[in-house]
This record gives sequence, C-alpha cells and structure tokens, in this order.
Amino acid sequence: MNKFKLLSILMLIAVMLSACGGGAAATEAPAEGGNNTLVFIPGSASNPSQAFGFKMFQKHAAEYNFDVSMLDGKADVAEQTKAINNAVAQGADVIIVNPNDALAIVPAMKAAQEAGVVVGIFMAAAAPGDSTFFVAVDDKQAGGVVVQGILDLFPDGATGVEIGGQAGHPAAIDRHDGFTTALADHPEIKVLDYQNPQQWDAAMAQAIAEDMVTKYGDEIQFVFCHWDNGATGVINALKAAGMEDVLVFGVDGNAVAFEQVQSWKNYNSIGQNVETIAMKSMEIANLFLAKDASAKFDNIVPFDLITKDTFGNFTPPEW
Amino acid sequence: MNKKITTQSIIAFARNNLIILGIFILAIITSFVEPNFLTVGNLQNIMRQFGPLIMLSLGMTFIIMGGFIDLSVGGIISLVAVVTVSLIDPIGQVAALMVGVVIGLICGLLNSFLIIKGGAFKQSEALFLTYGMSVVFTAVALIYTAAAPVFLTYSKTDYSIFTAIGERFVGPVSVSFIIFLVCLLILYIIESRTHIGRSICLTGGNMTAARLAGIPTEKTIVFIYAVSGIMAAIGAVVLASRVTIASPIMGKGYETQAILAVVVGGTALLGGKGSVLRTVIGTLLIIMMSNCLNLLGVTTYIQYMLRGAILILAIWLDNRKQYSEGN
Repeated sequence: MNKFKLLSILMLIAVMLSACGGGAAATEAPAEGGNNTLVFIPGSASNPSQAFGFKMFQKHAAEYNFDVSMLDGKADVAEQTKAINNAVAQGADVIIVNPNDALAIVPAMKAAQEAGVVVGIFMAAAAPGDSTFFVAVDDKQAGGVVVQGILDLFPDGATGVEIGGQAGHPAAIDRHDGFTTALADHPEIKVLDYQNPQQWDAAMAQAIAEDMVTKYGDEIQFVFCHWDNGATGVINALKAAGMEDVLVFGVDGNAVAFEQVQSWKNYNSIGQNVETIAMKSMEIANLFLAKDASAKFDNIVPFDLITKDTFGNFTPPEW
Repeated sequence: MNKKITTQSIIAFARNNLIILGIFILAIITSFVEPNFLTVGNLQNIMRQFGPLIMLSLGMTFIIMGGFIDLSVGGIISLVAVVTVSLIDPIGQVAALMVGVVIGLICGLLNSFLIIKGGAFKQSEALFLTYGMSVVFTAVALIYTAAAPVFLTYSKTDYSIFTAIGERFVGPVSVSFIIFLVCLLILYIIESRTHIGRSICLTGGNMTAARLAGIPTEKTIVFIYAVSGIMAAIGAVVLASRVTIASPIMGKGYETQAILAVVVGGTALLGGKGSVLRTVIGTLLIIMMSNCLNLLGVTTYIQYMLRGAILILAIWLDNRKQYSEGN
C-alpha cells in the first residue's frame, strides 16, 4: 500500500512537470495543414545547442512548409533508435537527427530511408548511404582557424595547451585531429599538454586548466578549449593566476562566447551558427523531397569567427 | 615475538589503509617528477577544487551512516545552481544564496517524505527512489532554464560576494575552505555529541532494532536527508561561484564522486559506522589523485579507469572488513 502511495506521488509529480513543460524537451504532435512533417531527434533535448536548434526549426518551419515536432534522443543510442522508428511509424516525411553515436543508429536510419523518409544528420558528418544528407560545420576546420588565430597574435610562434571536449565525443575527436593536422605545418607553435574532461563540464575544464597553469605557468601563451562554456572555466583559472594576457579560443559561438569576447582581453570563439544549420537542413530536405538533382549529400556550413572586431556582426544566440 | 607482532600490525595497517597508502605514494612520486606539486599555488588549487565535492560528501556521510543512499544530490546541484545564479540580478546576491539553500532543504525533505511514505527503508529502494528524484530535479532545472546555461555577466554587474565564495582567499585559506571548516565542525558535533548523531548510527546499523529500542527512525531519516539537501545546496553554490556558469546538467556525476569519497574514507557502505572526518580524508584523496594524475600527464581514459578501480577496491576492502568483524 505504501509503495502504491509512493508510485502515485511520483506519477503525480511527473504529470505536473509535463504539464508545466512544453519547452525544449516537449514532444509535440504534428499539426494538420498540408505541410510536410519533419521530426527532429536531438542527441539530447537537455543539450543547450540542440534545444536551441529545435527552436530554430520551429521558427523557420513555415518558410519551408514544414510541421515540426521533436522526439528526444535522451543521450542514449537505444532511445534514439527507438525515436527514429517511432518517427517512421508516425508517418514523418523528413527526420533530422543529431546522432549520439553516428554508427550505432545507421540500421535505423537505413530502415527509415527504405520506408521513403528523407533522413538528414544535423550538426555532424555522416558516411554516404547512412543518411540522405548531412548539414554541419566541419569540426576539423576549427583547428585550422585556431592555428591561424595564434599566428595572427604571435607571428613568431607560441606555446600553449589544448583542453578537449568530452572524452570520446566525435566533435572533440575531430576538433583535436583538425588542430593537430594544422599544427603539422607550423612547428613554431608548440602544444605543451592535451587533456579531455569526462564530460562537457566547465568545472572539469577549470580543474584541468588550473593543473596546467600549475605545471606550465607563464609558458602558456594560448589555450584552445573545445567549447565556450568550458572556456569560462579556463578563464577563471587564468584569472586566478594573474595570466590575463593569454589568448583563449573556444568553439560554439553561444551567448557565453559573446560575453567572453567582450570581457576577456584576447578571446575568440569559433561559432557554429545553429540557426543557419537548421535552415539549411530544411532547405536541403525540401530539395530531396522534390527529387531535385541539385540536392547534395554533404553540406558544410562555414564557421563564424567571433572576435572583438566581429562580434557586432552577429546576433548572440539564446543558448 | 615483539618484532613479529610489529610486522603483523604494519601489514594489518597497510591492508586496512591500502588506498590511502597508494595515493600517498602517488603524491610522493608526483612531488619528485613535478616540482610544482608542492608549491603554494598548487595547494591553493587543491583547496579550491576540494570545495564543491566535500560539501556533498559530508552530507552523503550522514546518509550512508544511516543505512541509506542519496543519488538525488546531482539533480539538487543542478537545480540550486541555476536558480541561485539566475536570481542574483533580480533579488540580490545574499537573498539568492539563501533561496538556493532553502531549495536544497526542500529537496532533501521531499526525498525523506517519499522514502517514509513509500516505505523505501532498504538502501536499494532508496537508491532507485533518489535516482528518480534526481531526474525530476534535473528536469525542473531544464524547464526553468529552457536547457540553456545561466552565466554571470561580469561586464555589466558586480558579483563580488557570490564569486568570493569560490575564488577569494582570506590569507592563504580560500573562502570555500573556511565554509567547509564551519560545516565540518557543526556536523562533527552533531555526529559525536548529540542524540541524533547516535540515532543515525543505530538506524544504519539495524533499523528494526533501533526502532524497538525507541530510536525515532523516521525523524532520523528526515534529518539525514535534510542535511544532505542543505549540503548539496551549499556545494552547488560553491561550485557555481567557482565556475561562474551554471548549467541545468552541471551536477551530473557528483553523486557517484561523493559516494566514492565516503566509501574510500572508510565509512561502512551498509551503514552503522563512519565519520565525517574520514570523509574529509576520502575527498582529499580523490581531489589529490586527480591533481597528481593531471600533473603527471596521465590521459583522461586511464584516470577514469583508476577512479573505477579505486571504488571497486574500496568496496571490496569494506566488505572484507565487515566479514572479518562479523566473524
């Protein structure tokens, strides 16, 4: 009886939460109205960039004649596979996925394509055939942008450190690979250390940065941190050590990045414009639905380089 | 004979304190390989990194001593951090901090209410229930922020009181360390000098026997979860003031680290025995291990493996100790 009461209380809380929800994590049924239906399946609706991505799909849906809904991937491959299958069962015309694991969801994406659904990968690359198309920035190019930024400030070369993204995450691997490849042509730039945190956690990035500052001190002239929120922790560590001239690079171009570009002496963010990527995804999806010959599988969106000189040219995103 | 007894006692000591010895050796190796390890700057780093985890771990000690577990502290951290940071502008720094602590208290009381009303008096039942509550607290934080991080806008507002908690020093001692010392003193007095402290151990040792002996076990459960909620909230404030950004998922993983700190410190996982002082050592070892491994340039993957191995070793040693004491 007691356990029945407990279950009832928990269910009541869940119902209350879902009632006051309706935000990023909500799943909405497609509306009637003759438009094509697009189901967005983020890696996790709790990821700020993905939640913002859904808002951008909703914002521009009418321009591209879509009714948009979302099924949450819940940061889990099995959940994301289930979501893809559910979207097909719901009769989606287009499924846009930000993969938790690009390889693990291939069978579900192929089954969806065989059922006549256009499947696009959002903010990540894919292999031909796995999906109908992908729209993303090229994370490997971020490394080249960082190297150029370092050379702009230190033409004779510099020493610094790299703090990666979540260990094992595809974006973190690509950003590191791109940076390493770009550095191969510039022996005058030396990376003293490279560490990844367990997850995309600013506190973990800060602890790593503090330990690197202890170890290398003034040898650190630049820090490449794989995401802007993590760079907040890096800046705190540098500030505590009185190293306020260090050049810091972050990736994402989110609201924090815009703040840091203004408040830190040398801060650059390599922005991935989520709104542009969402709009491009719908544009390409329409081309595939219309069987237009100009539709391409790989669609790379260039990075926005946000610096003190350029931040006025961009609108700070909400996330 | 004396010599034999001495050797045996040394071996017994080493066996009972294997993890502490291991990390002590790691610290010695690090100080030789990396001379900066023993600098004032690095000790201050350790002191600052110590802040958030120790607060949670102190609260978790009471929970585990009482024979329960609390996986909701990760969710409480996320919720308290985003609410506190977001309220600084509208209601001021001190009021926002107080709201944060009250939210932690409410979350803790809610946990205890559900445990008592649901009859979840076994550790395994409390584990699943508090895990569920962690998901609920995180979901509330996500809804509250629309999944976006909340950050301090230095260029516009003064956050001196709030950021002092995580960043500033009084002499060589960080403000967060002073807060920790005050919390430790209060919890140690409760644990060792009060009736409720004894009730926690008796409840954790054998709840049925404690109840029959007239111990108010339900009040004890309410107390330990309230303390855990408050300590998680203080940990969240220290964390957010240190990192200056609050994300609705920032507490993820802290619950397991807190349990690790308590168990490595030597508090019995099944309850009944332990001390907040032991947890201080456990937390210090975890923070120092991470600091040493970073300074030695050990990759993240190896660090995960070592952390997992230490947890397994600590539980194995704890079980062995319980078994030998049982015989």
